[in-house]
Amino acid sequence: MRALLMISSIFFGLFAEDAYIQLSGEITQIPTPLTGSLILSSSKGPVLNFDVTPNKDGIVCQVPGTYLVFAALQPATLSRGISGYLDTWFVLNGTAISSSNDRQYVDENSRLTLITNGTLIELKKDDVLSTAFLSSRPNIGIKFIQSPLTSTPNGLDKPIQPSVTSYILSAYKIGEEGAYAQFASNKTQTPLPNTGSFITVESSATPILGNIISNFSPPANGIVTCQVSGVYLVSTGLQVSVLNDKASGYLDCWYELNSKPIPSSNSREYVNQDSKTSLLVNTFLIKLDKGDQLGIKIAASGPDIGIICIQNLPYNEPEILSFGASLVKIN
Amino acid sequence: MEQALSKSIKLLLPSLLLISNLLGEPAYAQYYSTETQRSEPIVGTLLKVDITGENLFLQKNFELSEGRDFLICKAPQKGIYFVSASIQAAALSEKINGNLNAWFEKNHVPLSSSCSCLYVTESAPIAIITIPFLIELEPGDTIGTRISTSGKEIGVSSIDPPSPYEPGIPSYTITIYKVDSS
Repeated sequence: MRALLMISSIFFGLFAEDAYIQLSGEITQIPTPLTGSLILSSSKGPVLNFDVTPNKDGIVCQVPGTYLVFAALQPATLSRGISGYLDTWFVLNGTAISSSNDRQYVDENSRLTLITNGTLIELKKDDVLSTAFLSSRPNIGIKFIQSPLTSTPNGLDKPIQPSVTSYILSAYKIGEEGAYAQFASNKTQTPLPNTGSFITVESSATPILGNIISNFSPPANGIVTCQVSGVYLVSTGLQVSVLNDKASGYLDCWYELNSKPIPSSNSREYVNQDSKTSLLVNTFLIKLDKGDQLGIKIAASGPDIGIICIQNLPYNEPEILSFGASLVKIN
Repeated sequence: MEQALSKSIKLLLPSLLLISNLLGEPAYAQYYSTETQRSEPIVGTLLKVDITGENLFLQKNFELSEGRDFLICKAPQKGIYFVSASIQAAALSEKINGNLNAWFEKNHVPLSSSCSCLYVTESAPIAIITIPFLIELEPGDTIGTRISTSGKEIGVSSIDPPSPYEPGIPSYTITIYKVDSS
């Protein structure tokens, strides 16, 4: 019996259907005011078991499964002396995915930045997944920057560096028998001074993201417990924000394993009066053994810096969660 | 009949396990840097990583180059990899504004569509960017991250542990792992 189980496990391992896609955008795009737009792609590759919609505004799944998806956008002010924000979220079969929204400010000094929105999502065959965006004013969009050319000794002009892409979408199917989890918070949170605080996970927010959890215990007091040993990718997105209009400062985010900080797992993001909110993304590989407890902790430079949930957005734009994390076993 | 089936399975098992291991060999690595790094004018700089013990425990089927500035794929088969570079871009002195561009290089050739840019300013002097990318690698292929900045006072910044409760902030972290089962 054991031999049969091993055979079937090997069989499915050998013939598991992979699926992945990467799209990129080589055009500057401005969203339709008020309602927003779907982002268009210009090129693709590598691709397996995905199609691209005819108008290049989405990907079409061919193999059902659980997917890890990242969309990286290059928000920019497209005229001088303005400031505002850009929101981006995922759309499944024409409907905005609840709570998949993130916000990034740009201003006359920080004219260009990168926002990386990630999520775990269940896709069925023929599901169409797109990335939407909306900005707070007409001259804020996502920017493509053609690389300048330089003359080489043989007289040929070649780019000094690659052009700056306005949009990258990367998606891949995670293992059939893997361990993964996604959890989130729809509460504004501020860390304790000095020691910092564990991020708390709201059970009311987690189901919004599809209640995607396998081989992890449900989060308790902001901590998840691993049930299958392995190496995991942990990707956390935090909506760092000033909590009053005159504040400025930074927020740090790091991982703790069994109540001990993981060395060099920390990241920092500044916010200020002009750029009031910004997405901090912290991706890290962590080796977990069965029973290990993983927590996510934050600390801020002052009491008016925290992570913010933004609700009641107009025009059916999904709410912006203060925090979302995805864990995926990668080996 | 049952005994014959069981015997066949036992005979086949080692071969299947070998094929499975060869095809589905995991490959992953994560390195980070605790050095503040600046870009060379025009050509930019490949970001270097540390070689401390803590850095080395998360690698399988990857090696670090002698110069610590790119990873070498040692997996037995070609495959599709997810790679992520997290860069703590910073103004390295006061009253500086400028931009940092970052992109991946495979076998020392820039990967088109992998380049991202951000500004840091005196009022927001440090920011984290995370660049996600899918890439095909064959055994022996190399992958690294190059930055180019608008001036020598823009770079990637490492920060010592801000408090006894908090770990240090690396200037650069590269994470890579195989996502297909080939």
